[in-house]
Amino acid sequence: MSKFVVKDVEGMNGRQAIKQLVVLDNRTDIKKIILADTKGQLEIYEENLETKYENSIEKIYALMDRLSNLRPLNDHEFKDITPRSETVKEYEFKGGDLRVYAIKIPNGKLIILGGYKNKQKQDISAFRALKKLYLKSLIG
Amino acid sequence: MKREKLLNSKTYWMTMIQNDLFGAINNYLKKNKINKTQLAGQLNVSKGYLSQVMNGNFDHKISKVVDLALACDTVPILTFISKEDFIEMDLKGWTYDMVPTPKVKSIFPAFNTNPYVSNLSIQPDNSWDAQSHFVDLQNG
Repeated sequence: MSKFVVKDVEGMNGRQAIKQLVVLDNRTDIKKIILADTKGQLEIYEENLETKYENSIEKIYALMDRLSNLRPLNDHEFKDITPRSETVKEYEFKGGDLRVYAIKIPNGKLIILGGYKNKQKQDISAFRALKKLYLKSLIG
Repeated sequence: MKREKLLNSKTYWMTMIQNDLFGAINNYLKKNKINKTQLAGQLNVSKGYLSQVMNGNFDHKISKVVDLALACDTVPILTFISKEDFIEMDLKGWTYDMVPTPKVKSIFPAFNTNPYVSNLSIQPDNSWDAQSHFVDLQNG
């Protein structure tokens, strides 16, 4: 089983925290981790995007910034996608053909995974699997 | 993504304007307890058009933004401030909030010299030297 830590999303400075999940190898000693040098899920996703998605990822950052500053967001670009049976809220940010999946955490949102419009189904499954592992790790 | 890069992107500012417009329309719908179809009828536009606007898919004429804002009992205040100043203050954790300002001179110097008031269309009279007035008041 992987280990997890969370770190801030760079570029956000609002009142609500926007964080990202950092997935670590099971053998990693968390105490020795330097967060600034360890890539989070959003950073890895952003780094691997083709240049044609530049506007789309900027859009997602703009939406996260509005959310962080408690400003209204339209429900087309920021959706609650929580299934009925789930207790921890799930959200989807939409920017062009890109999708970023997050969950609710105290005083903010935690980015779990980034994906694409044409792979939504698989991405949401992967997001929920990762969410489950993360929440399980919190219980211990 | 670095905050400076985000604040320099066209997508960021488009997202801000589009979602502020969404917020104004959404508030109007809630306040007046009407739905999109009814508002579209009032505005003499199609429901599809209104949905497009509310979904953040809006890049039309300034006159249409003004029309929509007025129809929602709001006024669109568009201000232009130095990008350099904005980014500098944003990185310090400041934001530019609109505050109503009296057209008459205030006896409080800080009020007249507040940089966060000067970006409003209603501006204090710059010919009045607030600082020297303050000194005069101090000296009786």
